[in-house]
Amino acid sequence: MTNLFWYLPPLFILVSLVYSGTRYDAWPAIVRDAIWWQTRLLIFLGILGLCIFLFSWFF
Amino acid sequence: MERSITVSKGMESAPAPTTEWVVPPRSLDPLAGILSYLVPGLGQIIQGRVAKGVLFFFCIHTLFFWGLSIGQWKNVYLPRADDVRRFRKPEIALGPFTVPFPRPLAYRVQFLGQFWVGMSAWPAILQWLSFEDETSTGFQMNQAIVPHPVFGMFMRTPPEAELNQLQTEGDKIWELGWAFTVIAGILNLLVIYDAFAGPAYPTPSEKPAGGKGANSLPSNAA
Repeated sequence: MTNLFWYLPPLFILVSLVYSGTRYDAWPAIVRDAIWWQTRLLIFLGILGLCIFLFSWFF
Repeated sequence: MERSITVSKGMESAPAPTTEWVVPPRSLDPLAGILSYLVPGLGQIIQGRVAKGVLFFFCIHTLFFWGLSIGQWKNVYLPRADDVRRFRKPEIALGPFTVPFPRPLAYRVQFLGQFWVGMSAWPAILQWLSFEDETSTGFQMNQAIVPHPVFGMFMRTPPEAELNQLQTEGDKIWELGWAFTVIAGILNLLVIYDAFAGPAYPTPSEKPAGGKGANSLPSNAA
């Protein structure tokens, strides 16, 4: 069985590139914004995953 | 239909001369919007923003067809669902009004998102248009299925038994697949808007408004 989490990094990259591409025209701005969005997504889902892990650990 | 955005620089320091960066007015481009709906990124390519158009084309299609493939090519479809009792007369309540809702979309609401990926999702509509009864769509169990003359079984509603099997015996990859296809469609809405009206944050012009303070712009911009 494939772990579902392996599908997330490519999804982050594709989504953030398209989203940033619709916000800016200049490539440096697109790439900078895309990396920033990927970081935000990783942090948000990391916190969410940590919370779920702690819940499953203690309860 | 033109819009312009003015960005003021140097307003915080009173003695300094005020220089305005003006984003040149950009005409709205409905044709590019339509082209970007049909093929993601095509509107941008027509406008001369080729690299960005290719980026959108590659990203949207990768997401859509990747989702389709991990869903075993059976998660983008438009069912007739004629015999599903609870969808016999689907309606949406909008205050005092009730608006009828198309039955296929009530049964397969994911297609509302998948539709916006453009022509890549049209085989599902063609399959839906081509077959008028449940027998030919294969939605019912143990009934004969007639393939489409061009698309065959591509984006045809799978038989109910097969759908049940995909959803109950899989490892959630099938569901993840349709989520990818829906995300691709929703992202293409942003791409369509970008082709229609330009990016959310346009690049400001290097020339100041009205020629005032033209020589002082580079020092102020830094």
